[in-house]
Amino acid sequence: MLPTVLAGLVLVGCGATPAPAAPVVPAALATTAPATATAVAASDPGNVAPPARIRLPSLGVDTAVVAVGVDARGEMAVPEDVREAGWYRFGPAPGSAAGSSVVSGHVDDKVQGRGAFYRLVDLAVGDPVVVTTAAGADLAFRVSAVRRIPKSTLPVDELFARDGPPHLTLVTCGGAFDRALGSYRDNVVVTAVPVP
Amino acid sequence: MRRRFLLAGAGLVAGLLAALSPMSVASAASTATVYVVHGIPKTPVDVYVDGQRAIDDFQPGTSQGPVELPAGPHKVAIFAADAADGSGSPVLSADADLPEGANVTLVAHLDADGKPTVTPFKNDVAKVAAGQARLVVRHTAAAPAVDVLAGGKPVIQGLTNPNEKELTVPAGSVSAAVAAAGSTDPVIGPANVDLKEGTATFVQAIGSLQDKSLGLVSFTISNLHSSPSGVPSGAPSGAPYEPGPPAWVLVLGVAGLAGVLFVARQRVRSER
Repeated sequence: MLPTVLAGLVLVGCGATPAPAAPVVPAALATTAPATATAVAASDPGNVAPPARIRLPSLGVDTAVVAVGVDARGEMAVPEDVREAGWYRFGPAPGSAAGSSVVSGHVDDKVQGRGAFYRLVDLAVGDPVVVTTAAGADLAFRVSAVRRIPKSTLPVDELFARDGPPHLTLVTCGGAFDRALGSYRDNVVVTAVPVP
Repeated sequence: MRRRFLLAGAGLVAGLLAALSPMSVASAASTATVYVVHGIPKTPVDVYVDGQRAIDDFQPGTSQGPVELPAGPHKVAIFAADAADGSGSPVLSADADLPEGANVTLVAHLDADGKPTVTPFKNDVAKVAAGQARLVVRHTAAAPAVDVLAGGKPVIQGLTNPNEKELTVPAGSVSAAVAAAGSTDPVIGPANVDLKEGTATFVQAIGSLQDKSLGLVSFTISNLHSSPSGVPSGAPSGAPYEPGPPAWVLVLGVAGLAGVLFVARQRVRSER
């Protein structure tokens, strides 16, 4: 009886290989004064305060957001602490004029337990999302789509688009846990649009 | 000093022609993207393209661009800035044949012996991997071979005029310097260079070592970023959350164990 119960629960979880967080690089003055060449209006992450917290009131989630980059394999770095969410600092910050602001959090972990985005898949269209910036501003979003996408077909260029209408993209893992890969098979992708 | 440079004959432009098929259908809107770097000290100039003044009073140590020019042949003439407009003999002139879609830099600079010249470079505007930045360093100064130092350590070695070398590095701020080849004693810099993610920064070393007029001219081309290849937001320990069994399972388990023990004891007693 007991082993059967455990096996059933294992399939519900989500996991992946370690992803070390990339160091945050401070903005520095370029003494050579490089001219910015192409004038495409992709949002400049430098113009908007980075996110500090994210709240998902319908799930009772209120968690810290840290800036992350990429890991050694070229995937998005996700905070080691599953209670935190990571914002992809090379893309637009929430509140930017254009593009997708990506915030990711671990779904769970054997050692650390449930992650900040454990119940992300339970969000419903219309649910509120609130991002608080490092400058203290609250930015209101509303969920417009909840998808579960196999990792093998994840549309990364759509998720990480730096142009197009501004929106928030929340990502965690989902689906079955593949023991051989040490990873969940799917990503849960939630899209949220600014509330006017 | 009248010089005539046939850029179309230069190896680099020939390479461009090979890479970007000149047989491709040229629409009326087909263009090439051009940057211009002025690396000849103490000589402000006016730049004329096909007889029209394109850059007025172009100062040494600066760059201009990007400029979209129709693909095809162009006559570029560089006059001293104080000369009567478009008259007299140009300081430098060149025929540039720009392939459709090409992205090039024309650098007016001193050769290794200190004579003015123009060198065309193809700008590498290929996408950069997520989290990375491209750094291209061009030796266009009257100076011997140099090393480029990042954080005091050589990252490019033995670069000579008029050549370039390219690096892909993690995005961020780097303390960069230029030193004589084999040396770590800077002749330019060190200076902090902010290499933003998904960009290519083109740095031209210009001027003359002998005249103590060495310097850098740089420009950056943005929007060369790539997406991360995935989002590994599963269990960082490599295994998922395994909550303990629900309380009722424990209760049943304890009760069952107690039952087994009780039965066992009864049996032991009955066997006595």
